[in-house]
Amino acid sequence: MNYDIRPEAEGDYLKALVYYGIQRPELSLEFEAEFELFIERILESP
Amino acid sequence: MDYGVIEKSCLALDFDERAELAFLLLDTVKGLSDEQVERGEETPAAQRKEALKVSGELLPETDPALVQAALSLPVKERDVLMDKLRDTLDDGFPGEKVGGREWEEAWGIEIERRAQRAREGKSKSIPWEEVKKKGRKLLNELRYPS
Repeated sequence: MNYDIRPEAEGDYLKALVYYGIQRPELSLEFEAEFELFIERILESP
Repeated sequence: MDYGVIEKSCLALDFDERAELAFLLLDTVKGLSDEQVERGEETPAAQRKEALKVSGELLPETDPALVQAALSLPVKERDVLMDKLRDTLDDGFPGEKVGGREWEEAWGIEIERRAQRAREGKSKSIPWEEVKKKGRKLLNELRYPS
């Protein structure tokens, strides 16, 4: 699914991603997947 | 400025400033294990310079001399200061958990500020795939620091 995000949200996303990556690498991938799922749910049912 | 003064001044900053500074400090130590921090091993100078470079934008209201002093501390002290700042936030890093009146209020203000920037056309959107690629690259750098 194609969508754009604002630079402020990009900053929040990358900070959280790195934070999880520091805790455990697999957590960052779970976070990425959950983030995409969450955005797609919003787009499907705004 | 010695560590005690820097720590005291940083802990006296407001919530948003403490959160941003904690993130910047995190940027300066990321990629190091606890053991490496304990041994005093440093991150690449470019990584620390980058944090300093963006600090003015992220902390426009904060005394730049204090921010520079904090980000220029030896690695062990930066790590300690980051933990102390993080402990002052209601629920750790913003986004880690949602809760706490101070956090809710600060977030509400931030959302309004962002919405205003978007309405005024000051905030250019970025394709998600580009952000995702950037995130993967950051994670790779974190796992395999050069």
